[in-house]
Amino acid sequence: MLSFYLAALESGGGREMFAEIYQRHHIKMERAAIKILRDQSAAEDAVQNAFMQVIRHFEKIYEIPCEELPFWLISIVKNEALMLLRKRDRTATLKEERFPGGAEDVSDYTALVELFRSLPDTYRRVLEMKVLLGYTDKEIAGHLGISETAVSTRASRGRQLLREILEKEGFQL
Amino acid sequence: MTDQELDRIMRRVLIDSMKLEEEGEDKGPVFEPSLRHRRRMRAMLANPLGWLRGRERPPWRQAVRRAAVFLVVCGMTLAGAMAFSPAARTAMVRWVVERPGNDIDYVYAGEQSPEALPQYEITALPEGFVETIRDITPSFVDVIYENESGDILYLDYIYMHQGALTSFNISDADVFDVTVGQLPGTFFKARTPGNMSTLRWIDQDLNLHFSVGGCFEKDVLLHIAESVSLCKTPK
Repeated sequence: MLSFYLAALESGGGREMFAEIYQRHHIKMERAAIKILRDQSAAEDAVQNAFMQVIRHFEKIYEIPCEELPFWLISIVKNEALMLLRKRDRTATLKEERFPGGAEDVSDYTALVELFRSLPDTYRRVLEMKVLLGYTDKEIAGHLGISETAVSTRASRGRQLLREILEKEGFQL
Repeated sequence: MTDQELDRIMRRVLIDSMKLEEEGEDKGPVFEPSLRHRRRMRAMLANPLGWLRGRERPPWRQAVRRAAVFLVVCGMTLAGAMAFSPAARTAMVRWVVERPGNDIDYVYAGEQSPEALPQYEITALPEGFVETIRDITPSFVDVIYENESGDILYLDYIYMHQGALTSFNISDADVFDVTVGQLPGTFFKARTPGNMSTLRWIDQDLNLHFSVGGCFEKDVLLHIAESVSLCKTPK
């Protein structure tokens, strides 16, 4: 099946679709990369690496709802930018960040979203890569430079936090 | 609530938190694409898969792969062409150097190793380099070292046997004879700044053809080559 989608990229139609995705979303991706790296050359590398990932996983494009696609792409470029940042400054993303509490302060959906937005970067990246991008623990560990155990711990803490809030507040989503 | 339901909600929460973040984005540095980046993006849009393949295969990797591919491609051809008797095969030189055009080809002969190849490593690594990749095949080992800047140093070695060939393009290299320890070798000095130079030598007793490469001067590569030793820890 993958070869079918990759073959689509060899065809005119597949290339047009890819070009359209690029035209629509590259500016947001570039902005996300430069915001993290604050260096033009490194940001260009991150954007190029992100598009390599998009091409490699082109089959996933067909599964992603249109409204979610920009966030899928931004998430990819952020990961690539963080990888470059990690290479440049190994301490930047390797430091252990404490998982925050705060479940008790969440009383509505907006507060829930705000809580997840304020999670430490290393936790959010793990959750985004696992839930949005569908990466394996091994892939995430490689990207973030942490152990697979750390990936699994962070993902389960994130899920546990969400489950607690949903059960406490009884959100119907 | 099942894990699938939880992940569905998590997906929504994460996307909404990304939306929120985007809305509140401050004015940071502006992305101003260089000419090189624009050229690359144009190439990517013209042929995404071709561009990807090109990016995935840096030049040093191409050279290594080329050697590996020749192992397979030449296998049948050379096996047919070189019909030596067992006695003659034992006595013969295990390699021949040919120079077709801009290439130097090392064509090997002899039996394939019945055992797994020993594992070697560079013990005098330049500061900051660590082993990141070790590709092991029955007759060929490729070890990559990288530093934090992404600079690459490689060590590879091949068991010399009939059907194998290592090819090296010298269109961008000046060639010098050197001695690695007490073994004769060849230094291929890259003419273009930023391209890798390579040092090759053959250890006849081990029946191995070694090479190390990177953006280093001859003396540094010689020092690196002379430090190649059996791994202290199993790989």
